[in-house]
Amino acid sequence: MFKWLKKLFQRKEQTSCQIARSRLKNILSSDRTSISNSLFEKMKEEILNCICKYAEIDQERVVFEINRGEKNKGLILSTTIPIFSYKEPVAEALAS
Amino acid sequence: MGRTIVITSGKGGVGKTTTTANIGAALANGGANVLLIDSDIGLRNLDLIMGLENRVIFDIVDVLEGRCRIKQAIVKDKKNERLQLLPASQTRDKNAINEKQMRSLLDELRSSYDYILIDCPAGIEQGFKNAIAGADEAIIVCTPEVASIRDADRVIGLLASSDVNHTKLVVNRYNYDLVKRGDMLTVKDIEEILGVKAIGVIPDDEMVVRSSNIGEPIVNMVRSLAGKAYQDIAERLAGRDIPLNLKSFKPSLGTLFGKLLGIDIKAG
Repeated sequence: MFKWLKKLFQRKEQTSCQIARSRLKNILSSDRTSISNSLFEKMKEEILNCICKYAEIDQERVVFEINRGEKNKGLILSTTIPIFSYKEPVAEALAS
Repeated sequence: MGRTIVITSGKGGVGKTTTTANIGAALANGGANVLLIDSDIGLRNLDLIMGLENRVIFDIVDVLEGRCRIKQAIVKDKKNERLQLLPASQTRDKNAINEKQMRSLLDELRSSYDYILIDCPAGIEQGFKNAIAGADEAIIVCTPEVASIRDADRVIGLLASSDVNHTKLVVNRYNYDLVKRGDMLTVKDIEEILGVKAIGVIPDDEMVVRSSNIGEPIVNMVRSLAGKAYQDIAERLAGRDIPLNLKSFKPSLGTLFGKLLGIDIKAG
């Protein structure tokens, strides 16, 4: 019975294809920049710290990706930062 | 003026040479004049895949060092005179030629052919630089595996800062059953990760091994799924609009029935 319930509520396991996809996105993001992985992590952290001053964010679902833009136009850093809610003063400022 | 297209991948063993031979053969079968250049100096293989190894007398290094004229080094295909090959040297290395020589060689040849396909060596060193020098377009070959895709991305980055303008992708050894089970990256995944559109997808087909054994391009073998896929790529290169149909990778009933009865599919 417990096993059955556990199975029911357990999140479906990732397929090896999904794992490959996320591993590739990570490694290519750092391959594409000439900065080291640790510096890239530091940059991410600073950006998130800044956002955190204004909003509650969902740390688990944050995505940072580096992609190529048009030919010879450099790289594009794109990020998805899910926001739970704005912090009080900001919410007030937005309301006014 | 012919189009010069380099076939490259970064990683070795993903099917650059097979892709060069088969796209070339398919284009020539369609009536185009095609020259294949093997730029993998020291590891000459394109002649073997084409079944032309016994016809090779001179090679690209002989031409560049003035030991023979270009015409003397170029070998014609057994079946189709429109398909021709400029072989690599087997005894020299990648540093035997340079980018400037490659550019002037292509300038000399460009007016005589509709397509010049350059088979690039693995790696991103001098051999790669030679192969992409003077090319207008590139076809990246990759398989649906992490290492191959990472290397392909590196090459795409290098091409972006070169004179090569159009980069297309060929996904090789695609296994529809593994994809359906969630154990292989899909074409859409790969296109999204690399940011390049696929011009063709080659199914994992045991006929490819057979074809290399006998030295005959797969496009000339009847009822080969990979052959059909290469044929489609050639048509798309020529500007015809042929949709990718990944479902057709499942072997047809006829092929399965033939296998059951042990009927051998003959070449030619």
